Amino acid sequence: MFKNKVVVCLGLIVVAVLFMLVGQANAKYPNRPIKVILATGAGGSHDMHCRAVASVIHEYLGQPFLCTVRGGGGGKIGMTALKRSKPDGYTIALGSGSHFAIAPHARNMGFDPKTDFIPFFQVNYAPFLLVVRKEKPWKNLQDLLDDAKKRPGKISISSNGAWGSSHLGILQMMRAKNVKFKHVPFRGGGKAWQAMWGGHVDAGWANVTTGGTLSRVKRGQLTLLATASEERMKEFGKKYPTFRELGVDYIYKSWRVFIAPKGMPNDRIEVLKAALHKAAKSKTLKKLIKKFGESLSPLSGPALKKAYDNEIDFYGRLFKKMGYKKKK
Amino acid sequence: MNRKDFIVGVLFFIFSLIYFFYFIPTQIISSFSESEFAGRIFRPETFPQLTISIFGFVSLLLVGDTLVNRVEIDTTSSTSGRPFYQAIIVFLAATVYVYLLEWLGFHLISPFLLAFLMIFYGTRNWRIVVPVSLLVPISIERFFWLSFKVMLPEGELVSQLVSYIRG
Amino acid sequence: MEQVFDAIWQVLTLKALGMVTLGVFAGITVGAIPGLTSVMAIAVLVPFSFFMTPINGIPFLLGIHKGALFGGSIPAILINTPGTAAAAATTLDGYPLARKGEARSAIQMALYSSTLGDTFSDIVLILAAFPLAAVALLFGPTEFFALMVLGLTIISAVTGSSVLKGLLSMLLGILIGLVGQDIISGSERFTFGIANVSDGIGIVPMLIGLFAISEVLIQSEKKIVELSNPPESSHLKGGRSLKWIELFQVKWTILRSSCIGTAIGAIPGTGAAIATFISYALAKRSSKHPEEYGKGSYEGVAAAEASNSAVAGADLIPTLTFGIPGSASAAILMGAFMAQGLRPGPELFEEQASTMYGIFALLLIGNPIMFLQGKLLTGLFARLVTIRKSVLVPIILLLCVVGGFIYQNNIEDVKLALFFGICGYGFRKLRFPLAPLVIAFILTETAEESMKQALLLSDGDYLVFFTKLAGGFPVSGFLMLLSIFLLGMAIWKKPWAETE
Repeated sequence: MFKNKVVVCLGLIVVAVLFMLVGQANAKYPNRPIKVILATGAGGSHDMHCRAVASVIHEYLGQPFLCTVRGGGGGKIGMTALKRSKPDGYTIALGSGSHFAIAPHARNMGFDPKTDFIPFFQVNYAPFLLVVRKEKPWKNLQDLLDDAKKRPGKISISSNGAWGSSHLGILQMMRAKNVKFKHVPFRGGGKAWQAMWGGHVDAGWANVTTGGTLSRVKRGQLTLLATASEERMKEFGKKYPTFRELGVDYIYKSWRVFIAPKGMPNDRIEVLKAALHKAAKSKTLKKLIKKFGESLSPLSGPALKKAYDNEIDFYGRLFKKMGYKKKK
Repeated sequence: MNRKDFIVGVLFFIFSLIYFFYFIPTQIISSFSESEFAGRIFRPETFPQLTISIFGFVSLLLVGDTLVNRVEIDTTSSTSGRPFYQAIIVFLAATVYVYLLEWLGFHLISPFLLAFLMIFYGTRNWRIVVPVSLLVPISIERFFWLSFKVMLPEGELVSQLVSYIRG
Repeated sequence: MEQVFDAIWQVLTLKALGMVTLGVFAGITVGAIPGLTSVMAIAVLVPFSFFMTPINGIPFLLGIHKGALFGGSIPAILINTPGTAAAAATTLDGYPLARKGEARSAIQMALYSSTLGDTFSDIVLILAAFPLAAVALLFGPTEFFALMVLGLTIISAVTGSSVLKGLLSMLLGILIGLVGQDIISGSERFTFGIANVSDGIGIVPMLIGLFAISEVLIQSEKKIVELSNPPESSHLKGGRSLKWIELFQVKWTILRSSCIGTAIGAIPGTGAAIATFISYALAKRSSKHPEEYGKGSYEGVAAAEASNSAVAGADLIPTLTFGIPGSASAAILMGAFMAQGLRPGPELFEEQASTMYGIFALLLIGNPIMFLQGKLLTGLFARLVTIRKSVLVPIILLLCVVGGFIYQNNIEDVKLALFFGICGYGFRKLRFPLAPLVIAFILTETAEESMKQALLLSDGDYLVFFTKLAGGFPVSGFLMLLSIFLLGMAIWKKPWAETE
């Protein structure tokens, strides 16, 4: 009796489940939502950008973007998930520079950023800025470097973690100018900024949005020493020099780039690219990004691929020069 | 204290030895042979070594405590009835379920897990088992999809099957 | 002043109030589902706020933030599973109460103290955001380490019957906390090649495993008769209502916990979990009935819940004044503020005064709204304990799996939860307390990092923890001496620990 009931139960369940599996009809790409993997944590600037883009993209694509946070493992988890996903155009990622340009040199990430992924659309970027509180005696980078020469190892700079993007900036300064800083690593850029703003370390890194850096520099609460961009930043009226101008070869831009897994059909990439370009021209998105304190700088095609590869190679050379042994 | 604690103490002590002499040397992977910072305190293994040493010491104290205080406190009396292998069966069912989740997906196998457990726990009324095991997974899936746009695992095999049917 | 009232009057539209109500409801739901964090819920719902006016959109999100901290106490009380890490201390007394058939009154106590704690910190936020934020900035690595030491010493208050087992549990928590990247040297520790733990073990899968899955396994040992019939306490229909006198008796506990929650919440990077455990421990120390703690003390529930909800308002202090988010969900809230053109910093209150006062007014009004919703929902939730176990337990197990998965859309987290489930089961069978493990786990990362950072800055001088002045005050020294004092008290009072 009991056995019969069990069989009936399971039988009914099987039938019902099979019904649920019947799929819908096929249509032209995209006919269902597109999953965007975020290899960073929820609520970071990548998350905000993804959701901002997602809030308008359906108007130009016909289907929404689903921002899916898969943080952890320093980007390893999200990026390997992208690599393993089916390249059918329904899974893409919003990549970050540290994940494709720095992490693969520092440790075994399980992917090769150049061959496993196709970068196809840059939303924008936010270069690193070296800042100090206004009470500190240094008015520009040269002051800081001169002082560091006089007092080796006494001036402290916070970073977002050992061998992370901003630690490399500190190392580049020390190598280029033959000075010594006291490097204090923190878990994440936010905590590092907090230590600088609280006066616990002398100098720290930020991008324009961290802790409202843009307006703090404009109001004179923070002194901006140098920017890790290729050209002087227009956000600051091109007033502040870049590291390269001052003889320190360091560029880090915190990219927000949409990347696809290898093997995604070209026509599907083109569909997404076109929709993203249209979205980038929309007033709503422009307004949203502007409110974050940033601006859109759409880039795609060969120019993007070249910049992407350049950044990877740049950090590859850097790690090599430092005699870094990659972890297994 | 009782015999169980004695065994736990001994096991914990053995664990601390394994941790100290095997895990710490093999499971701390540095890229540079020398730390960037001078001073032992900044080395990645110092904190674990300190912790595990205290851990080993406290385990020994626990062992000593069971030998000194021979008062027997019966810890099993409160959980009368079914023996603990019942819990192990549930755990195994959950483990099998999770491993199947990747291949067969949430929709396909969740009803079976629910039905199995409900019957295992003694629900014999199929008017409860069938609706609950079907409706609960569906409502969970709908809830997360509609309110948070979270897709529960579709299942590798299922999604391939679906794309095959669709052509 | 008139201008302020004017602004407030203008924002009190039906729509704004509706949005707060909706937000609080979403928050309670999210908090009540283990694995679903308010961080995630706010992140998903932020885009909706992009298209609302600040006065509708922001309070909606703040409602979620608020509601989730109360919501976390519901599963903590009913099924011994903290919905969020902040509710871990609530399980200590809430669950024993539910087992006694007093689920309804326990949730009500959580609701009342949450509402009061939240209101308190909202008022502090409105009146004293700037002075408090300045104090919070004094916390550098040295002070953080001292605070973590204080957190570790209070563990003696939650060890349960055996000090040795409590210590072992705490040390295991530290060992688990050491898994992941050592940020100072950049090396990977104890990851055993598992990618999922290379950034450390996730708190949510760990909590789900240790508390919820282990509970499912414990329940599985029961006799079929016991499982398949309605629970013994079900005739109580979830229990009685809390009496006002009982709330009145814990007024000082609630006030103390609200102060601690507000103070610690204002320090960015500390989090509700630490505030909650410190409040709980201090409440136990100064209680007239410390022996009831851990066995179903209403005071314990009040201490934990008042302080974790007090963090909700205080979180926003560094977020809005400095743009340093006090917690992960505050970080997303900050993004939402910025998307509305409300850029954190002093200028926020100068240029956008009327909007900000409106938001603050709605933040305050959110508290009675949460209270009313909680009142209505409590009876419903409390009824959960009347469902027969043979149906409820399988559903809980399924929710555990789903919760582990949605935390980061990662099936590996579910496996991790299962692993911790069997560990938690073993611990509970052997009568090891779980709370010390959880606190130690939460504290380890910050403790180790901030100690090393402080020593780097002091060039290796260990005395810095006692001598460093922050803004003219020996903040770190004070916290260290307090820890030593509490430790001394614990050793001196040790006999109570061994008697049961």
